[in-house]
Amino acid sequence: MSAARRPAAGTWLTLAALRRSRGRTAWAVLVLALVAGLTSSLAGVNGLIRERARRELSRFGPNVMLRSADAGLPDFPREWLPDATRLQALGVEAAALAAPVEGGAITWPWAGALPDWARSGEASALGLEGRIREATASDGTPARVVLVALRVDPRRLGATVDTLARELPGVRVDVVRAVALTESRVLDRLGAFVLAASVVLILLCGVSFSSTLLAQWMARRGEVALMLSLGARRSTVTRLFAQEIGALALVGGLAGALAGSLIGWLVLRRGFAWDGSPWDWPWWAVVAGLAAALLVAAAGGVVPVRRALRIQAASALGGE
Amino acid sequence: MGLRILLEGLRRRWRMKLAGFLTVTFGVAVLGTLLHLVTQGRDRLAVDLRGYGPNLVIRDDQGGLLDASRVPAVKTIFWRNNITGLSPERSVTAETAAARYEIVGSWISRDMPLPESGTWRTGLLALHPAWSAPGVIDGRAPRDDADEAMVGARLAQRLGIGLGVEVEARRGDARVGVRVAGILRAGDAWDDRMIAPLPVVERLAGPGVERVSVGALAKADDELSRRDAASLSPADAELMTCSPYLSTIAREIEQALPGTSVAPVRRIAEAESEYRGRLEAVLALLAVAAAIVTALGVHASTRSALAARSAELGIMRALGARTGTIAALFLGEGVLMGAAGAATGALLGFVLASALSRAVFDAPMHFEVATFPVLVMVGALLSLVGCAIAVAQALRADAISLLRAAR
Repeated sequence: MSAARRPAAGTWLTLAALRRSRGRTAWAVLVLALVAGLTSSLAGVNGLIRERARRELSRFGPNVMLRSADAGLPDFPREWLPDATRLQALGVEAAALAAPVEGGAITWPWAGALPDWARSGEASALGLEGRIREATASDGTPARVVLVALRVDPRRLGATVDTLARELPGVRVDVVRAVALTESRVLDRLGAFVLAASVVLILLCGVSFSSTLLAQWMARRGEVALMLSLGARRSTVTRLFAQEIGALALVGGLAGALAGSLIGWLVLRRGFAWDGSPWDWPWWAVVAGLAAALLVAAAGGVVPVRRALRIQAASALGGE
Repeated sequence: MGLRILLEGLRRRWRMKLAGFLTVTFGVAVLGTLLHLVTQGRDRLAVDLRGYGPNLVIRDDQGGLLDASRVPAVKTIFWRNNITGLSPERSVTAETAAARYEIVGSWISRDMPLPESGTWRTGLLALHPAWSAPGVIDGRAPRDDADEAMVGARLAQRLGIGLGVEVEARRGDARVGVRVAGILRAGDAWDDRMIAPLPVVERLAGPGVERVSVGALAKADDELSRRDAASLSPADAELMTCSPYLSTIAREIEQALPGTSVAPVRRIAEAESEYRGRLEAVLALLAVAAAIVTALGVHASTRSALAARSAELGIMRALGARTGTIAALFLGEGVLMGAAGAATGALLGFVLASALSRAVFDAPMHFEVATFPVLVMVGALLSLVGCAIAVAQALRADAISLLRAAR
């Protein structure tokens, strides 16, 4: 066998081994797909759930209030706020407003960056009395805006409050403690809870299935002994098994990681109303699934192959 | 005879048996951990949502005042353990020489005698846990038995008062002097109010409270809870009564306190229901994943362990044992090992869940006794199914094939 033909022969032997025992191959692929699917779906859910939960918790109300007792609130540039997508002006309140006002528009220059729902009906569910900057009081006189409720990304809350307090003299900037503290606590607990449960599950999956694969490959000592007795080098046998394990992990892992990502996407879509497409699923979650499948396959394969290479071919094949 | 062979079988090759036992133990332990985490974690996560404030308000149905001494009846309802806090409140307008302001009389943090026995500490501080965070109250909350008050930060600024100052609140001819024990920086409407113990405000405005704010752990609304109670079938009505929906808890409170109406705080109740409903999807994913992984893991390991014992099967067949006898012996052994492993795993799962709960929620788990027999049965069943498939496959082969495969 020439050096150039060795890889082709090795590949042929690997494919033959996989084809020869279809049941065993299918079981190994299924197991590795499960490992990859579970890992990728849980990794993605862990990565996205805090952001999704944060959006849900925003329904509990604004976390920053800007108040001006005397002159009304001044305009301020959008640049003072950290990130357009993470800040939502939920509404304003007019000092002389007799009843909630429908219609109108927020007149800050950057108001166009606001999502539609911040300017329409949903904001009223947050318990704010009015939600337009220029309002008309019940007697027809223009009302002065004295209160703006803001929804600031909790991670940038401190810095944003500092900026607003520094740049808006005469305006009182209050953090709504019940909202800010509860939200931070709920998100921390939720993140830790899902992470703990996921780690336990992935570990169970990994340990349990690597031992299953280990038992499966241990049963193939005879094959190794036969190869050795026919003159195969130990490195060749190792390479053949590594190819087989790699092929199984790649096929099972890729299929599982893609299926798991789809399931995770569906859970977030149905559960947390995620509007992202499947293509928005984090790529690293798919990679994590594939890596988990490779790891479990390797963990299940290394020990049997090493043990099999130490055996005496004659005693393993005795009577064959 | 059969029992002796079964016991001998368990004693011999103990290392292999130990591996099978540990597989079931480990699988059931993780399933038990997740079962505890998912069932109790749901409630723990919901408790944190109570930080947003009360979600029910009790008022007199004729618009009058309520007698605060009737409030303990709230803790007699079926879902009393879901009530996390309550405070009777009376808001009146008071004035000083300089300004008019709102003063709220309430329980701050007091031991409410329970109708059955014992006491339960509740009040505004229990209803608003965020106030206990550092920096929210300068000074301290007032004592329920003292003439003290806590003043909102904006009101304190408006009145020009600070910690330790004596303030005289007036309402008509009534006058009450209180000492400012704390300044509250809640960042919301409470910053414009003065909070005093209920007896102080009752001296200003007379006895009675206008509302009782209640914090309750409630199940997320679903299709059933949104239906009109009158249109429900007897089975659905029973199911609804057996579920702690906010509307169910409100109805029970109305029955315990005749002459009252209980309304949800819409903003809090809707947001909470929405969030809890969404959380269910993630918890369901974890529970289903745990069940599938445990089932497949235990099943596969049991099959592998039994496949390694084909020599025993072969010898039995060669000696003329009947198929039924062999199957009974192996299945009996599998069930015994599965049940023993599952029992150990169930206990281990609780210990693991409790450790994780301490890390995540700063609180231990309650041992759900009902999960123990369920987990033991699940472990035994998984082991039985794994053994049954492996034995059925093995018994299709003849004795010689089994003995050759075992070498």
